[in-house]
Amino acid sequence: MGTDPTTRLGVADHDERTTDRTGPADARIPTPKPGVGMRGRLAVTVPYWFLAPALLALILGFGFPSIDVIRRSFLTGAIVGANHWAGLDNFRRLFASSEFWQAVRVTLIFTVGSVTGTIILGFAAAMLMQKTFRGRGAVRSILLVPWVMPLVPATLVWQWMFDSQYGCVNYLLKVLGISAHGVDWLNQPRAALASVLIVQIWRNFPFAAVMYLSGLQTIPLEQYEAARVDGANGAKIIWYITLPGLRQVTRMLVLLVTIWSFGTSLTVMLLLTSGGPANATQTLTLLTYSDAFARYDYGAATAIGTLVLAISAIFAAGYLRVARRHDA
Amino acid sequence: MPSSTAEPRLRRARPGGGRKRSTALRNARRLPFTLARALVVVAFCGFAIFPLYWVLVNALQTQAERYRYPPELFPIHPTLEAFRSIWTSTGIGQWLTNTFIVASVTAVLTLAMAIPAAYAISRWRTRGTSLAGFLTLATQMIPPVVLMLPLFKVFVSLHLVNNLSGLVVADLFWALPVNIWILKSVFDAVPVEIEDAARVDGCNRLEVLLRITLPMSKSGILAAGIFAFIVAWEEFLLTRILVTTESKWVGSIGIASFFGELGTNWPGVMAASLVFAILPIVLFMFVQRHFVGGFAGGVKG
Repeated sequence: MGTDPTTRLGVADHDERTTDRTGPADARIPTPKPGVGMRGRLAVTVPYWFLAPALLALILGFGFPSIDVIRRSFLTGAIVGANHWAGLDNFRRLFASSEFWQAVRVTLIFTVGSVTGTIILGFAAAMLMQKTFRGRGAVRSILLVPWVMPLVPATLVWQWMFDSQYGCVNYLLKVLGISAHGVDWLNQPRAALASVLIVQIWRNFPFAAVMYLSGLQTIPLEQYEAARVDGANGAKIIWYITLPGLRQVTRMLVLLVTIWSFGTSLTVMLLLTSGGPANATQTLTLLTYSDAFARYDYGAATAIGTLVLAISAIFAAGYLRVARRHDA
Repeated sequence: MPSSTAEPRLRRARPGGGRKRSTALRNARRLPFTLARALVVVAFCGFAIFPLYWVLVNALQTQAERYRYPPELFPIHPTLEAFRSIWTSTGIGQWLTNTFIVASVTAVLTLAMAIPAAYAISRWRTRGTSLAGFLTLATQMIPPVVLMLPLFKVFVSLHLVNNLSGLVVADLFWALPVNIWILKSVFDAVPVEIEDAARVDGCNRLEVLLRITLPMSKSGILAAGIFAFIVAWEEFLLTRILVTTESKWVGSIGIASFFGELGTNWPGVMAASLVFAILPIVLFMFVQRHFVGGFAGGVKG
């Protein structure tokens, strides 16, 4: 039944896209020849009738809001009432505030930390899962749990796990002999940023693992055989065969996880630390959120929104280019 | 799935045939490796599943046991009391009902829009349809928080605030792009030849889609629908600003309301979390093979 290709994961899926772009599907569809008259001309529009409802929704949900945010960042900021042209005032105000620069710093640390952690853990998990062993299916399902557990209850239980007095994280540190007094996870600026990062990496690493796992399957077995014949040991095989073979996947993962960590992730900070203590976990997206919906400073919110949008667009362009090259 | 492609590697490691003795020898020499590896696998699994397990343990204990230190790894006197108490003391029944309604309607509407769009992108390879596919992917790169600012205003002016229909619209936006991509690869798998045969028999495109392609893609469509359901079930950020009246709360908002009141009825809070979390997890495990690839574009958090 029509399920087979969908069972292929991430990367394989990308491959598929192009093969059939030039594949038999193309040739078989009778394209209306020019000059066939009314029928032919109508037939050309058929795909657009199929696309129309979805495209309309996407324009309403994504197109219009993106443009509106940019437009509003140049207006005086009130949620209701008349807005006047404000030029670059919103941005000037932003660049003058220390809170903004603090958020830039936090965002940078958070993004770099989250991408690094996600990639490393994801790669390690994929390497462990590469060989078949008894219970592999169960392990696979378990590793995917963070990815599918709804984030709100997950963050709630992490908050309790990070509790400085009764939390099991500190208990674990004590048992392992790392820290006898424990860490005040959520109330000490550095530790708070670390806890937000831990939750975020916990959340995202399964995705990287799955992508790497499907990437590993695209490396031809002959390469491993050849390396082994040449006397390469495990570490050398990883260094000379596995890592280069995964370069494309890594590139795509880095860009994707960057886009997510930079742009989409704020639920964890919002719930776990509310950006505190002392703004230590306030990222740009969280700042936008609280400017808009807690302080009602629409000017500041849209100005940050525009910046976030612009920076995301750079990474997105990178990702879409790499994904396309990966296709070809 | 992946296990089938990894098969050759498995065969190499498995003792068998004429190489029996040498493999057995090698296995023995590798025992420490295998053990270390198993330990790491266990550590990974522990890291991944512990929060869910901890929700379970906490839900099965009593309020008094909560402040036990060192924490007990297993429930000592497991009781379902927490489930009963949270049911009577909060509106969780109402929240879950709302969530279920919103998620189901979202799933149906998303499919209704995504199926024709995905079919068009899969079957007509023109510049227009490939641009549509590209734009669909590009929406996933836009930070949702940016979209929320203008969307909130629009929702207010359309009276979609404090209204379950408003949530459906919002969730539809989040679920639609990924759904289009999942369904596109589902439709790619349906052989064009069968459709061509039907067209020769006089079916038009819509009839082909309804009578041939859809019945052939049932399980893929089910997976896509479940994906939309999960997205809507979990949505929090936009929901949080769209809904304030408690009778319109959904699960994510209800659970989030427990933050900051960690002292009160903690086992009940965990019981509620478990009930809320378990459905998407089970549904996902049920159809996971379908959409790990589609997830490439579909994460919000």
